[in-house]
Amino acid sequence: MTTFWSKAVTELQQTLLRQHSLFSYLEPLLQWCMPGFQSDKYQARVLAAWSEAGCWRLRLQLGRGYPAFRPGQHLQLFLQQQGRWQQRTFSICSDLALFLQHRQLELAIRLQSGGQFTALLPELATAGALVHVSAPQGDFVLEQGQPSCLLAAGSGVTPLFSMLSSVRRLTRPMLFIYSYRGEAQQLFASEWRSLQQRFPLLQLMLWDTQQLGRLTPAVLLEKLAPDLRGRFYLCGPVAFATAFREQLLTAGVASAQIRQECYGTTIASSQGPQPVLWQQGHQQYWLKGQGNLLQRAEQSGLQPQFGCRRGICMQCLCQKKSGQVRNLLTGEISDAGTGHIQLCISEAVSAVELVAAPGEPQ
Amino acid sequence: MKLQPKPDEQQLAALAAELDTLYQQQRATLGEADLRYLQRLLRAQRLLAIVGRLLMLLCWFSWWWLLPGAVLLGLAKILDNMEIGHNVLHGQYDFLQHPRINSRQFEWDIACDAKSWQRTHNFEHHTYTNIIGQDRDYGYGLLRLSADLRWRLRNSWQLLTYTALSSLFQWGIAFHELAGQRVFFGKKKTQRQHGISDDALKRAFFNKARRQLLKDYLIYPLLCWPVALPVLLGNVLANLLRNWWTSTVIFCGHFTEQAEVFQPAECAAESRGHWYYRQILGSSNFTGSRWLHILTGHLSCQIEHHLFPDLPAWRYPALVPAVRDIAQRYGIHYNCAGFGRQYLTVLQRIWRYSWP
Repeated sequence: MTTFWSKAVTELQQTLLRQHSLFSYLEPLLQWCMPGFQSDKYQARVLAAWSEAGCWRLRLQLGRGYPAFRPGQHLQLFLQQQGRWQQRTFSICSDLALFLQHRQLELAIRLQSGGQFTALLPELATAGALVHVSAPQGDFVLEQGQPSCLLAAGSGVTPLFSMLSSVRRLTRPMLFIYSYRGEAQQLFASEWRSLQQRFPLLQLMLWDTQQLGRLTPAVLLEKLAPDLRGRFYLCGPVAFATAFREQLLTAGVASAQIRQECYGTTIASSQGPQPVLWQQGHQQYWLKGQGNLLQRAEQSGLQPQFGCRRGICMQCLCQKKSGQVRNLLTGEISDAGTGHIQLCISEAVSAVELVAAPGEPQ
Repeated sequence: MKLQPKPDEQQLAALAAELDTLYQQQRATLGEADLRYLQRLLRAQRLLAIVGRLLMLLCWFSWWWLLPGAVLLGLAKILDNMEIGHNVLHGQYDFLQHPRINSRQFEWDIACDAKSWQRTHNFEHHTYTNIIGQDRDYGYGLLRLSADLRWRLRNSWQLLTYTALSSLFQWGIAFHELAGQRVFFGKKKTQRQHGISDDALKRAFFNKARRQLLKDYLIYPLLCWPVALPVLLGNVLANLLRNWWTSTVIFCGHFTEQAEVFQPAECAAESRGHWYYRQILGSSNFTGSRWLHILTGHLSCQIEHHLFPDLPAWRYPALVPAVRDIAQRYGIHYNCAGFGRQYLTVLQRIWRYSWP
């Protein structure tokens, strides 16, 4: 019944206002008295911003309406520069108690050299500034009640740190391995000791690759001997998570026991056609061929909508989830985050992920 | 009838380079100012719509309130359709990455479904501007506006047809942009591929039509129950005002006396320079005050719009001197006159081609 009524209300709002909510219709007026108001985003004030271990750390104060997160979840951080919205996804790295008591949460954002978004941070996300965030998302969360092995590489430690620090009582053994490159790159350096003291069942491995060498799946299985019947939580670069996942599967761990969250950094290069992943509903296709993205989609047997094929009509506009493209008319290189691009005048200059609307004809 | 000799390919390439440079210069300055302009527009549109609808409620006291209410609502619809809708759907504000005000998600207060409009207007009209037989917007399949089209008996009364089309313009556009003749009556004149089925087109048409009819002629009147009748009439009047205004502005864009037409043969495999050349000759501007430009959605600068359809339209008036100068140097006629004069030539053109 509730879905019926919520559908009816949405339909009524679409009919009367051509917007999905009354607030988004009134947004231009509400912004008169609340300049930062965005009907589909939450406002947050930056309480503190500092740089730590190659990351930009933020402590955000949220309003009363912000939904509680589950440790391990991520959110979108939105920054507006010269009118343009830019957004990226980051894991929440603080503990749930901080949120429940003070409505605060923390982020740790790896500063990428040449990254368009991270370059904005020291300018726009400083103490006192207002930023926008989405509601917490994702189902990469800790399930207690079983032995667990949490494995992080680099800034992949952020969601796992939130999981660990939010635990109130640890009743099953937990192996927590954090691999980082050198002391200077170690995040949350001041907090590991107290966490270890708090949880007797926690086996904490701070793996400095400069001293101990690279952490490989073989080292994990042989030296650290995690409980193979427990749950595994992997977070790090794609190559890292994939390698460990494969080895764990070979060692007899069921795939349902492994949870992973990965991130990939993209680097613009001009050598040959870049890999492009085309998502349509539940299906995924790697685009073949060469040329602009519209040509490549067609060469791969897809039939995206198009019109003028010269950048005028906007019919081939498609959502880009990540990756950089070059506008063939203006030569502009896009930013690496989400955005809309015209397929007919875009060429991939890094690995790109595209999302076609599920209702679109194939 | 072309007054000046056509530039050769070399000149056209130089023309394209100059216009491209102008475009790039503008692109480089996109930013905060465009956002502020869009926000002000949206705010004005919302205020006009809300105040207009509230004024109609005052018909409880006197029916005279109907008039200001309908005029304000009509203005809100005009702003929504022209300066906001038309321009947003052209992708002019897509660079802002706004979650809703972008060419993919925006939906406007008009019977025509935004996606169907994009399909025909943005593609067919803007790509094949004024090419006889390819630009379906040329005369909307109802009017004969050039000697290149065969005269039929029904053209004798096309001035009346035009008046009717103008009054029902939103429905004319909705039907036309859907390629209604093809979809409903199976008239397959062209081999164009849309990548979309007739059923999907029909669904979009009926969904949008249903919502618009329900909104203006049932739900809003019922919500204002004791004054349902004046509210209903006010909505009809607001829609009429919008229809007359939009059709007048749009007809002044391409159907003025000197707006030229082209043959498919001269445009086959054309260069970018030729495309620019055709856009200048096929469009016409009219002059006026700032508010007139805004109410026309800056289609008063039709030439600039056709050259740079995805630049935020409020920038067009500032581009006029530069574009006019370029056109003059390449000997391309730049069609610009007062609003009244341009409209008179439209009526003359409709009248002249009523006869064989």
